[in-house]
Amino acid sequence: MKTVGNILLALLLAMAVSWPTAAQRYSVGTDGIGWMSLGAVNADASIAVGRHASLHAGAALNPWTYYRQDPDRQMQARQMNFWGGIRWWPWHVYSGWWAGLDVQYRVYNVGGMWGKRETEEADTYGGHLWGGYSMMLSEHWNLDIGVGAWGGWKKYTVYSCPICGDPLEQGSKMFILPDARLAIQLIF
Amino acid sequence: MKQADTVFLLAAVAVTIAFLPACGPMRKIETIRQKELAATLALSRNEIQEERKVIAVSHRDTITVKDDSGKEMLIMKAVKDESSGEMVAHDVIDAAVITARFRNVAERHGRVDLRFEIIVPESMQDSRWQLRFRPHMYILGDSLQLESVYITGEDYRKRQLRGYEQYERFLRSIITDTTRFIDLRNLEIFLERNLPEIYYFKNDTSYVSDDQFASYYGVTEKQAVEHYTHWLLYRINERKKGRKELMYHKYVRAPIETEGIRLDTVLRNLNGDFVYAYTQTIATRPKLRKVDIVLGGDIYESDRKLYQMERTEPLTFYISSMSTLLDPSERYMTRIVERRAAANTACYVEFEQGKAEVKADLGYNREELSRIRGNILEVLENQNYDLDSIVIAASASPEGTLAHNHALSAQRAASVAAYFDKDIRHYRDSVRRSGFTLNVDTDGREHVGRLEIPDIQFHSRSNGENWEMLSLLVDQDSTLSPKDKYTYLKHLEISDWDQRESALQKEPFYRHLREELYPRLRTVKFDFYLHRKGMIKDTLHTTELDSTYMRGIALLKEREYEKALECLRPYRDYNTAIACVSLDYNASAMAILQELERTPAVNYMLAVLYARHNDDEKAVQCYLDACRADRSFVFRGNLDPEIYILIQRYGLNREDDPFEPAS
Repeated sequence: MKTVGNILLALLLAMAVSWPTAAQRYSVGTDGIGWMSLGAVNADASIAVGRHASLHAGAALNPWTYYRQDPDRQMQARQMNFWGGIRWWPWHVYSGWWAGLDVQYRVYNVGGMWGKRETEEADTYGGHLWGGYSMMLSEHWNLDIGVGAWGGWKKYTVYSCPICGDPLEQGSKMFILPDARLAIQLIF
Repeated sequence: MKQADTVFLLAAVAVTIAFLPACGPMRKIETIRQKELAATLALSRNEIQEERKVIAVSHRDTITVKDDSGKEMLIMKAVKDESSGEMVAHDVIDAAVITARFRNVAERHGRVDLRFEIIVPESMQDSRWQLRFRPHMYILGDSLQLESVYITGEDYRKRQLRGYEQYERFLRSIITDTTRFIDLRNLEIFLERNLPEIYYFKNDTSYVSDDQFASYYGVTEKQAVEHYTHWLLYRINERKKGRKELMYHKYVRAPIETEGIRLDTVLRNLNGDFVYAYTQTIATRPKLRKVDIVLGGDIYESDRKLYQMERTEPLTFYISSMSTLLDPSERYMTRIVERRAAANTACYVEFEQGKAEVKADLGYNREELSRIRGNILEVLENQNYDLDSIVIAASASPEGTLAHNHALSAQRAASVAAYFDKDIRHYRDSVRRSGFTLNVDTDGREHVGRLEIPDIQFHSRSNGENWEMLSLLVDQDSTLSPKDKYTYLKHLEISDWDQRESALQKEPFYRHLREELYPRLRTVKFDFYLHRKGMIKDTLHTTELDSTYMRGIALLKEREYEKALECLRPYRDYNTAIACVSLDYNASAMAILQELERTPAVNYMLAVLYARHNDDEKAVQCYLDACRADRSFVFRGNLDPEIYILIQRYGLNREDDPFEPAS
């Protein structure tokens, strides 16, 4: 994981220092709100397919378990997340307002947070509808802000604590959740 | 119930407080309306004081004058004692209140100063009001509004200024720099990313067409600029621009007027009546005898008219002009008409080398001969003169011998004379054949008849070599250097003309003389000798109206004094003196009048001049002499301020005055 992080950082730095002055058609970025979710490493990339459209794909990984030695305090928001979709830019790709549509697969195990011991483990399949604004910070950097909702179907198991193997509830159901994004992006 | 009463009471108090400020002015207006208060018009007190000052300074209640038999008499201001019926000396007591509604004003330099006062009572003044006074002038049946006088209350002006400040703020909120509508930061980043070629040219002023550079996706710079323009702000701004007029009227409800305003004064404190001394200068014109001034006015609070004043009684100014005293008699002059007259012209006729024959096709001969022919016919057809003879003299350039040139120019003159003699004979025959023409006789009457063209004698003469003209041309020539001109002058000292020409031929500038100046020496001069039609004697003395003098009189009547004096100055007569008096050239007028016979009019004018010099004794003497001989000056005296003061000062023209001529 460390190696992947280093490569990504080196790539970002190389792009930021210098880039040919052709049209900018690609972006890579990472979402700050994702990192706040107990340090989920995340990255996304995109390619412009026209003045008004771009294709996006990304992944997030959170393998971390906190307070593993103390069963009463252990918490985790482990997940593996993959998504891909399209964005529509009314003015121009990577500039200004946008609306997006993604499909997403997520598997997670989240529990022990907010004073609750229940832990949920699930496989989710769904779609993501959102919109936002890409603020141009400089020639190569954007601040990408977005809000939306993602929803779909999930197959889940709820355990009474993060380390318990005793399921309280099991099943599958539809869900819909709000989502937000505050990402820094390199445009090249 | 108790609570309801309290609420009602509070509401009543609030309403009272709200309307309290408005009560004061409204009550004041009501009082003004009831009392029909208005500003008043009065004759200028300064002027009255000036008159009094004259009286105080040179006050002499007794002067000595002579009657028509030459006997000396004392004259003093006196009134009849009601009890005894005798005339007793009377001291001048100035009136405490002037109520006169008219004044005699004198026109000087073609202008009259009408001085009056606008008196605004204190009870009409208020800090929240503006009083707008409009004097009207009635002159020769026309009404003319004079410049207004505004008296502005302090609070009124503060409100006006506040309105201007609000409008100013509104104007400042309008964006004039259109680049301020563009989000330059984002535009710059966008161009840097997508139109780098344009971005790198951002400091280059060379023109790049929009289509030359477009982004990878076809976005042009123009589209980018349009996108990063804040159109909403732009539209708001445009709307503001369109509302300027509306906002001006909204904020500046009572604008500070500057056009047509004589005075706009702000009264800081109400401190008694306000008096404004108004002076209106008008140009006089024929038939102008009197001018009425009437005052109207309004009271305004902001843009609302609170009260309209009644118009005042007219103040009348009677205008006296010296020009009405002019002597309109016609003046004649003797003119001497000479029988003989002469005219001349010159032309350049080119001849072949050494030849004397006139050839119309050579050079510009055709134009020149045609011009001369036109001149001759013009003289022939002149209604006032008959052509006696034409002398044609030819000159030659100096190349060749003197004798040859002399003979050649004689031949050429003869040749030209013969040419025109033949030409004019031909013309005369053609006129005779054509029949009738319109003739004008010596009295200027037109009648149809035959145009008789008399025989014309052509005389030819040789003027030889024209050195005089050559010297003149050399002097004026800009091509020749000063050194060349000096050399030429040195050669002129050679008395033998042939040798002189030979000497010139050796000079480097000779070619210029030969080619440029010599051709202009070969001239043919025409002298026309004429005589006045129908006149037998050599000179004739005729009497005719002196048009210059009569023009001077007309200008005097039109009160164009400067121009009149220009015409009349050489005549130094009574009318000249009038022009001088009208222009205040008193010394000149006095010098002229003292040389003239003492007619009543001359005496009257002298009285005016003496009065201007504060010589009351001579002034009264001259005035009374004028009145004795011509009673119209008794009344005239009231119109001229100089004499009017004398009449008032010495009580002249009373019915019981021993000097008063019997009517």
